[in-house]
Amino acid sequence: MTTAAFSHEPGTAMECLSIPITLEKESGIDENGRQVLRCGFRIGGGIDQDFMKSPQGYTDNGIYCTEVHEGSAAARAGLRVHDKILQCNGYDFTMVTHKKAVDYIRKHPVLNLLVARRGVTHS
Amino acid sequence: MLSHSESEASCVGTMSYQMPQQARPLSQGGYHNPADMPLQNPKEQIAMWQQNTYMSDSGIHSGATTNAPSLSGKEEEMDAEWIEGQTQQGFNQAAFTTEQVDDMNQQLNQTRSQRVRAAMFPETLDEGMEIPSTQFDPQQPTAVQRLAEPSQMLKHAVVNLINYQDDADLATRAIPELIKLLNDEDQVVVSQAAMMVHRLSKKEASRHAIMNSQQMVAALVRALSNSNDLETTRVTVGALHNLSHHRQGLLAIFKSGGIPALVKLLSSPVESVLFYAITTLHNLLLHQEGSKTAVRMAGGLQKMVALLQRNNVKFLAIVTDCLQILAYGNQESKLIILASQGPQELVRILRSYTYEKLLWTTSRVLKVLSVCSSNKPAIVESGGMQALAMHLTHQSTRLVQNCLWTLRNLSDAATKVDNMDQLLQNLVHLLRASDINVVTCAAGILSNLTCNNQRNKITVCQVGGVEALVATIYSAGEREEITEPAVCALRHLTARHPDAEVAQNAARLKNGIPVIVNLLHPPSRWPLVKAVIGLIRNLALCSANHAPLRESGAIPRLVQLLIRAFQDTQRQRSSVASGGSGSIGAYADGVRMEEIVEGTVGALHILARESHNRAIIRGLNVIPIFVQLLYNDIENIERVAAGVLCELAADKEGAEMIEQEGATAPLTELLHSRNEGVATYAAAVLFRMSEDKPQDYKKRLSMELTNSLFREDGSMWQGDMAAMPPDLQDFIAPPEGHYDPMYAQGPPSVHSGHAGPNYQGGYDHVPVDSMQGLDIGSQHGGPGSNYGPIDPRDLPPGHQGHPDLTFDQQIPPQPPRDNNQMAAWYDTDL
Repeated sequence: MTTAAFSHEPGTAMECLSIPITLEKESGIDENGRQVLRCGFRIGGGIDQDFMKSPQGYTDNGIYCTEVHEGSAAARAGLRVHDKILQCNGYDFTMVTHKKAVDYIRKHPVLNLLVARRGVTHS
Repeated sequence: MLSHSESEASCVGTMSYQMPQQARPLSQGGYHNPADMPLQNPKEQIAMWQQNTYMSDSGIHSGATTNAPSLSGKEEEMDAEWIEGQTQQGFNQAAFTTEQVDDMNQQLNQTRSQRVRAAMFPETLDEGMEIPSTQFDPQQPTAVQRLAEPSQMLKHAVVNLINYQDDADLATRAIPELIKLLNDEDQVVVSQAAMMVHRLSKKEASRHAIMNSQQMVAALVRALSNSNDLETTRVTVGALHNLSHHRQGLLAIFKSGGIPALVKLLSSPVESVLFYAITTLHNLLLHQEGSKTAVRMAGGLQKMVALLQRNNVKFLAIVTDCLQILAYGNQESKLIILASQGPQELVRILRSYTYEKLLWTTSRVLKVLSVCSSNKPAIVESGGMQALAMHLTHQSTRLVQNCLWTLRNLSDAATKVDNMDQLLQNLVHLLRASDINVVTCAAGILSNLTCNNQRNKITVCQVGGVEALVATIYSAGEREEITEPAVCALRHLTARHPDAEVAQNAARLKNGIPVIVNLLHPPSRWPLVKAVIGLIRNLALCSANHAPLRESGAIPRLVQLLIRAFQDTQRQRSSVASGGSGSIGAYADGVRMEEIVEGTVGALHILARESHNRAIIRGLNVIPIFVQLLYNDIENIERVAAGVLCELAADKEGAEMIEQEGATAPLTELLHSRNEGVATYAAAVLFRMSEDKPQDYKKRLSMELTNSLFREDGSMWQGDMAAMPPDLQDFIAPPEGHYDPMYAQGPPSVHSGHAGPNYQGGYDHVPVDSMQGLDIGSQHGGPGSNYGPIDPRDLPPGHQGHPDLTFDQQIPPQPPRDNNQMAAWYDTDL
């Protein structure tokens, strides 16, 4: 068991503090004119990505929030840049591929996230 | 003729007499009141007197100054005649005429008084006086000669009494006067009076007079408290100091409230005052009842700790002794010392000085403090362990012993300390000491320091600790107070650190295995037995030890102990069930039988890695018990039982025996255990048992296993697929017969809540590190994470190529092990 949430080896047990965030997506129109639900943030990472190549300097294969758009649902819900998403609607995000993570986030209108944040949940 | 040496031989009780070295007043001019002398053996006293008498060579005894040529000539003649062969005893019948005899008689009569005076007052004799001796027979002293000794003693006593009486009279008359002067308002008067009292207190008789006057002592104490000039203070405290050598004096000082006054003086900047004060307080603490409380209440502790910063070693020795007296058995004092930074100062003293007495008294204070749980960490943090270690090679036994006791008390709080290398080396060296107490302490300290501390384990191994411990166990024989900590230390050294294997081998190379296994037998008591079981388990981790362990008869004995402990627990359980008032768990010597069960089965588990051992275990008819243990409440016991069955099931006979005992049912139950290890082993046993079952049985079994092992991943599988894809079963069922179930494709869990198959040693929280983590690698080498790359054949058709897509649907995602499949980093907008 390791409590190092930010250098977590996917597949190993981990125990850490986390921040719960409830994000209600807002409706919007995408470039093609279709109705979409937008969250307002970008994610990067996944077990199929090489975190060493990440420009932000992430230290493991987790899913990280790389950007939060101003005034968006994500910003209002309290999500911050570089938060590591541990769980989304009960689904474990510490060992997922990038595409899987994207699919899961797109699936539901309301996201119940658990995130780890440096300096807050960990020193 | 009486010679000097002969007279010594006729002394009473001079066997062990030594010349008095203390400044006790002796007959040489001092005052001597036998009643007041520090209690001495009366014989010794007499001997001292006698020695003194003989030392001052009195003419009579040696005959040196006795010069009676005529008589001596006659004596010579007589001797010569004697030597010539007179065999008569008693008087030598010489031929004398009557006139000569009369003449001799008259001469002797006249000189009688001289002889008596010479006997009693030799100092009054004129030099060179000739006194005829009346002694005829050299063997028989005359009456005067015999009375010489006692009469001299008497003389001295009378002289002393006369002098003493003078002094006593003087003092008795002077004291009321002095008291009045001491109470005077004029400080100069007080000062003079105090000086007078100080002078008087130096002499025996007057000292007694002072002590016996409570008013005088009270006046002194008052003068001390009110004094504001140095000289007065100095002489007053000097006087009190002199009084403190006697019981009445101590009592008088105590009753007059001298202690608070003296404690106040501990802040004095003047050395002589300080020294007088501390010595007086020391005497009070040593001999006067009630002083300890008084000193504590007067705030003496804090002041004394502050005094530890001075650098006079004798002074420090007294201060530390005072602290030890005050702190012994008194928790509050210990806490006050802690609050005043006592531990730091004491450790500093240990590091800085070499005066043995000081080191000894300081180590005693630390020993007293080391049993206090608040002081312990402070001492350790101040570097106490290392400072004590510095003196373990000292010549003084009492110092070494005290250091060892203190170290032992501290050792359980010092498991996280660095720089212990010197200490550990010294301790290993001390294991070979001849003093049993030293060896016992050293073993105990090593056992505590190696518990859960990798660094220490490595260090001890490097300095030959394993060899030394084996030798210690050899020479200790049946002394459990030594063997138990030594075995515990070995147990720590043989597991859970990089050099563990070296240690396991070293124990064998030193022929340690037979003597260790022997300790499983009586008269060893349960705590020792439990420790030995853990050690055997660790030793069995090294395959080269399997044969020696087997040959020493470890396995039958372990099984015996298991059966016994198991029956005890069953008995306990049934007595509880039938309404008995038994406590939870059967205890013996403070050891629970459940622990013995777990330990023995764990050891057998490791031993069962080797095939001969397995044969023996099978032959001992213990498999039924293992199966029984699968029903046990305690998870650890279930785990080791399943583990040993797993090993035993590697052989066909073993597998058959296990199945015959009806193990299948409980094992299937255990598949659902929340303990990963238990479930893992249970699955492994079931697989091995199913080796030669028909194929469809195997398939059913594998489905069952997969279901139970994957049960908690429902959230993952539900969304994507309705039922387990058939190809997943292909992952589980082996293409060939021989595989390691845990390391096949298809990890049992993807949820990060599970530990996964890499279940390695999760027992760091166990303070006594007896149980190692799982290893199943009996035939398959060490456990490792071998998630193999996915064999494309196993993928469902239509999903070739893209790792992303295939990962999605059917195949559980795997942590990527080769970097070829990793994409460059990118992020997605949502």
